[in-house]
Amino acid sequence: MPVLLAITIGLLATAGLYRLLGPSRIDALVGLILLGQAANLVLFASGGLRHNAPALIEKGMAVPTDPLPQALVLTAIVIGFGIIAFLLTLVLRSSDK
Amino acid sequence: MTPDLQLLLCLLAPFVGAVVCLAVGPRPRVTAGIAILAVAVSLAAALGLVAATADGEVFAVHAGGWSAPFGIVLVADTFSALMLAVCQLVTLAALVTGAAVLPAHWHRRHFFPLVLTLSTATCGAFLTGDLFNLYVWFEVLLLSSFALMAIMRGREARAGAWRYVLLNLVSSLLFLAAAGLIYGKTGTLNFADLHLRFAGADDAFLVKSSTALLFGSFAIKSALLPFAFWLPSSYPQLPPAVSALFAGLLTKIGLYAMFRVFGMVFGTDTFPHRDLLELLAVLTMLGGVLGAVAQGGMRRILSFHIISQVGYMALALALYTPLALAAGIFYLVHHIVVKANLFLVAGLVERRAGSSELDQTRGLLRAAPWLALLFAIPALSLAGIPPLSGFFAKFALLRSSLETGDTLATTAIVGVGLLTVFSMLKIWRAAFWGEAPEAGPAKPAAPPAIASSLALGVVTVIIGFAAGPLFGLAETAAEGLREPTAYIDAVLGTGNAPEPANTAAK
Amino acid sequence: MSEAFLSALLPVVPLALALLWPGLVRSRPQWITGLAAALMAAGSVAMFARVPGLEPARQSWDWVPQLGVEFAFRLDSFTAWFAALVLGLGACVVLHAGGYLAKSRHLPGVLAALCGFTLAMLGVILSDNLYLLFLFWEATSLLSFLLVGFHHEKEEVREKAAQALLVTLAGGACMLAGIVLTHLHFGTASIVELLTMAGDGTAATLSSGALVLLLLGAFTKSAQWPFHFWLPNAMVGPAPVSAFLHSATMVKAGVFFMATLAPLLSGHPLWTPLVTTAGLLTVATAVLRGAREQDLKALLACTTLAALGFLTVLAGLGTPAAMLGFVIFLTAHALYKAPLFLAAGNLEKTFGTRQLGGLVGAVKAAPFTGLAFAVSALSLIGLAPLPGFLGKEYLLKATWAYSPLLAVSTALAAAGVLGLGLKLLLPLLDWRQRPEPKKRLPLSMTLAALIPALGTLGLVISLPATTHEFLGAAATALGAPADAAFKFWHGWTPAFGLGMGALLLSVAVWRVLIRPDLAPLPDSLQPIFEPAFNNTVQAIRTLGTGAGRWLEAGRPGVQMGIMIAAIGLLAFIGLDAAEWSFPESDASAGTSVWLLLAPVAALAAFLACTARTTLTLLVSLGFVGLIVALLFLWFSAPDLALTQLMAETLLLFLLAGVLKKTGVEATTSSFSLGRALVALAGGLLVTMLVLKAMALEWDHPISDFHLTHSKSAAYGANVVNVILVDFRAIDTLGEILVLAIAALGATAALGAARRRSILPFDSESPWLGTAARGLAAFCLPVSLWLFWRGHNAPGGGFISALVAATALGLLLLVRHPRLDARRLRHASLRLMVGGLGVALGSALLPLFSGKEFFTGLWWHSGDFHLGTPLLFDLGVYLTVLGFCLGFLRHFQPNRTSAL
Repeated sequence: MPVLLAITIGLLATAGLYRLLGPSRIDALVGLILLGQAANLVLFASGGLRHNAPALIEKGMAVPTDPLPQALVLTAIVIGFGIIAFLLTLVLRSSDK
Repeated sequence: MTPDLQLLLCLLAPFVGAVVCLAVGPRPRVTAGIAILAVAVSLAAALGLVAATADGEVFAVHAGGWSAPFGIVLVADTFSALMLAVCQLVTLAALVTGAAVLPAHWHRRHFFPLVLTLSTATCGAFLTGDLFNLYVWFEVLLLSSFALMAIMRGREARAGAWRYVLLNLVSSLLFLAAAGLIYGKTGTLNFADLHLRFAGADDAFLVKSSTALLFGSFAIKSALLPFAFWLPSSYPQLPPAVSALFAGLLTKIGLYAMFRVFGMVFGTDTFPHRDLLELLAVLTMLGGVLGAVAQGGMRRILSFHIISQVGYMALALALYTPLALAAGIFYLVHHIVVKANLFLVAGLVERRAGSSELDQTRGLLRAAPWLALLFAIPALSLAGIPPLSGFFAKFALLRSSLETGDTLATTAIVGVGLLTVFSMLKIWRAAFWGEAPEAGPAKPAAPPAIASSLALGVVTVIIGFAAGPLFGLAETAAEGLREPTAYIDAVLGTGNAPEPANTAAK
Repeated sequence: MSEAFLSALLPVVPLALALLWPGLVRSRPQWITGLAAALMAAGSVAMFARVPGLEPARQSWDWVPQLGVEFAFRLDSFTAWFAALVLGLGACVVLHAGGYLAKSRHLPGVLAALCGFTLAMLGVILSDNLYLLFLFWEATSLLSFLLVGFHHEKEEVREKAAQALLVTLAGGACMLAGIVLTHLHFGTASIVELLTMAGDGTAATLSSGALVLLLLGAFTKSAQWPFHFWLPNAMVGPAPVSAFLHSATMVKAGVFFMATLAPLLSGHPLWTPLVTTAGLLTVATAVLRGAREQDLKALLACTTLAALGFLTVLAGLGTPAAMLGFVIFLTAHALYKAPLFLAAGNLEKTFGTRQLGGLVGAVKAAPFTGLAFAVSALSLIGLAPLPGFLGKEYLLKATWAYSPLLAVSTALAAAGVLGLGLKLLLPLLDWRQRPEPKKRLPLSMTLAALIPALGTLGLVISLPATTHEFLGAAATALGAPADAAFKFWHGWTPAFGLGMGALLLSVAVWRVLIRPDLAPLPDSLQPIFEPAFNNTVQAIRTLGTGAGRWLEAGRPGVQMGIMIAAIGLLAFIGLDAAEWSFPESDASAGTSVWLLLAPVAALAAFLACTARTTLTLLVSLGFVGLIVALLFLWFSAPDLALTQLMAETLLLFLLAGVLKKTGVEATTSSFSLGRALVALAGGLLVTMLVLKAMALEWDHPISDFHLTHSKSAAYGANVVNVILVDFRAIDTLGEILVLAIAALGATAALGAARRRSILPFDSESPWLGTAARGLAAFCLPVSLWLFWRGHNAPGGGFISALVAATALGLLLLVRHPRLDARRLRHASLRLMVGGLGVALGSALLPLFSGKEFFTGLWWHSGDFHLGTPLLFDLGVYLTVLGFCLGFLRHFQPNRTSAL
């Protein structure tokens, strides 16, 4: 299972890199989106993964999952969102004549 | 005012200023005033911090009252205080110049709030004691610079900006992944805690490759070769007031991170790439200066020189003797002032002669001797001529390379120094010597711009003559990086063991 | 002690005057230069007066003690003597410049540079600290650059001045390295302290590299072979400048430096062979070059080169006898070379030419200048009893004492130089002709040339009486035997014989050299070092062009590839294949679902990677995002899953809009193997790293703390949210700042109020309108509900704001009338300002109640808790909403032009 997950992340990174190295701006943009997701997953996976053990105190779980990487990933997703949105404006502008 | 408050003031003054500027809306004079005031306050606080940390004392603010490493700590040690002070100084100069000379559409498109967020991010990056928080500040910094670049008009400028954005985003992704891996390895993100935990790290591959990713990220930010492709095509496009800001701050913050993380957090033993760093540093010094030699415009020459100078500072880190590290820190301080000033002077040249392309400018020595003086101070300093600041930076570095008997480093320092002279000479010959032009100034002189350039020039001279005390500070800062006991004590408490206790009474 | 240094500071007065009040200098050139000259002459006299019986003294102030740099000055009989010479000649030169450049607008600049130059040279002489000496050393290089480049309107002048500067600075840089090594070896950078180690063998172990580096500095400065070429080229400066540079300053700095350290460094086995060889070769090149010159100044420059060569030979010997010779040779040369150059300047002004052919008989036509010239030239030739004769005698004596072979070669070289002297003098003495003066000279110029020539005569007359107190004392201080003295007659010594021989030979040399049908020199003797220098410069330029182009204009894809490959290499370096092990599988993770999802993920990634149409791209990206969200959900991260979903939705919405406008760009080029390889390697690295990271077992002290204290101390059950708004609230603060800046950046990029018709979807269907309105009406309360529960259950500021933004996006799709661009822009800005303000306020409030920054302040009512972290979350909500509006407004459909 971890192998499968790792390979998936690797595939995302491969796809992102291939796209990133492409000639057009859209290529680069799509590459960055994919790579951003791969990076988020690396961060997420590094914390150690648990199934069905969200870090919510109420449920009284014995060992909830590590919440810190989740918080970091959330921050990273939002930052990535902001940046990609900004990049889109740059792409848009470059198409203006 | 306590150092803790000064620390917060340093960070928050530009932040609050940015919000107020946005709230005030598009009124150039008012926003300019607010921005200058905010940065000036921050600068004053930073100077206070320098004084407070001068003896090596470290101050930590535990945000939220959560003890480290559970919350985020803001830490001011000698190194960060020095960097803060000099960066805020340069920001102030750039702001004053920008307020005086930038065309109106810059003001309309949020120039001042963006500079203030840039300044906030600078302070945040210098003050944070947490790896992921550093990432966040880097992103703030990056986006502020992106947004400033996006104000530029013209096709070439946009192409340069795109390259800048793209390559820097790769750096961010690397940082993010590396931070994740490092957290996965050690279970902590706090610098002090990481330092303690890295000492006993065992998984060589994970440690080395995650630090390699981190290194790559910082190398892109600080424009080491072969990671500097974003710089020469974007910086020359910016108006001088903005490129002065970028040239002074951006790459140097990358270097700061490199010094902080590879010089302190990972410490002496676990930094795996020192030889490699030295090679890259030498490559950078050489490549940058060679690139500069062939350029035909002042701004282009100066942009390439940033790369070359970054190599010097990286070399200092690679040598990693106490003297070399102190030299590197001194170099950072000197370089930020001088490089920003050179771009400001390029702006003055453009106002006077209508262009800073070397084939369209001549005779400024006779036409505007004061401008020649304003140029000569930072240019000679950059070239390392005594008694200006650059001399002591290069000399200390040279000495540490000779002490370690590192011939490659010595040759590079001496050779690249000469090539630097060569390209400064090129500017001087083309723009300052020759028949004085018949035409008067292209645009009326802007006294605030001249004043800020002059102020930075004076600082350069002062750094030279007060090199003794300043080098003392740099030594303290370097010592703080090599032996971070005071840092760890201030962050984690004197026991060093992270006690799971909440300090705030809640 | 300190008054002696004060007299060296006298040139500061005219320097300041010239810089601060240039108008005065321009309106009264003669007066001001006269004043400057008088001041410097006074300084010179004061220095002379100190020479007899001066106790060596030292004065120092700290500068950078860590690096061994200090403001340290020393004064002994020799340095005082030399300083007096510099000041005295400086006075003459300034006086001369006042006449030579009386009408020039640039006189103030020249005056300032000359005074500065005098100060710098005095600094070189009087510095005790080697680094301080280096400072002044570089200052002389730079100032001479400015002075030589005085006529910088001409390209030739710029070229030559730059060449001189580059050569001397290159040497200076090497010398600095040499100084550091010397400092490290001997443990001190003080010349006085260094000299106390002379003869104790410490110098023998100094590394040869250090010695060579030091010598490179001295050789370039004193124009020694093979760096001699810059000196004759530097003749492009005005006459007074040449006079000063060549007589007492600039070029003398190098030989001064060598002579000062000679007693110490001659203990090194390489010193004497290296230095004497360079000296003799310099003389030889100077003679060969001088033989071809017909230009008076160029010829004089060659004799300077030769004299420097002899001085270098003496410094190379480093014996007491050599030091004795050094002092008299130095003095004699300074005293004859300055008037020669000044007189040459006068002759040029008077007769309008510098060619020897045009100056035949000039002495008769301009008697006073001619007198100065003749006396000095005779001293150069070494006619007894002029000081030049003494210099030559002591030179030969010292070399003979060291090695007769060396003495003979020196004598041969001397014969060549004397021949040059004859070539110089004889045409001017020709009484049969008389060139017509074109101009009358001001008195000051004649006087300036005459005074040092009179000094030459004065030295001869006063020598027998004062030799012990003055010249002798100076020589002793430099390292000559105690109680040294100079006298004219030593008996029939070999040196005398050699001297006479050289004089006779020189006549023969002269006969050869002045033959008009002199054949050009063979090619092998053509200068090769100057072309070498120029070729190096050219090569650097070529290299630079390549480097610049590579760095600046390469294709972005290629550059990116280089970067990524380099980072990948760095990361792979740490890999040790032997240590590699696969991590254990974690059974509790529940694999079954994932076995299904993984192929879908792979397919989506592959599609996203190769998609060539807008639709495939959007769909595949959507799938990737969806799978990532599922993955988050599966592994216990509901907050992440929600955020990912909402962000992905909005992002695709925006992307679709952009792609619709720029769709052409979405097509990728054909498959590239290089790209694929880099990408695969990168993917492999990521896979390996993730595997490694997941295999680690470790305690989670920090998140344990978060889990333990989240409910009890931060009053929130959703730990992720508590981390975001409390434990690590600064991250979040930075993050919303990022969003705000991104929105500002969009304005910066796209302009404030331009409208664009780029909505991906544009329909007038009433069904859709109703549905969208309904959905929006549903979303808004959901958003508020998500926000409220965020602290205790999945939700929170981000997610709820994104939900609200989605609702607004829907309304935009159907062109809700109240959502026009202007309104959206204002709303967006207000929301962001308000959000950031609220967030900041919640961070700052605790400070006023005396708590740490960002500490949560809580108000409790039973199980109900309200606190600043919730306020902070509200700030997040507002900012994110503002950000989304800020972006969405750019996608406002255009009302005027239908799609």
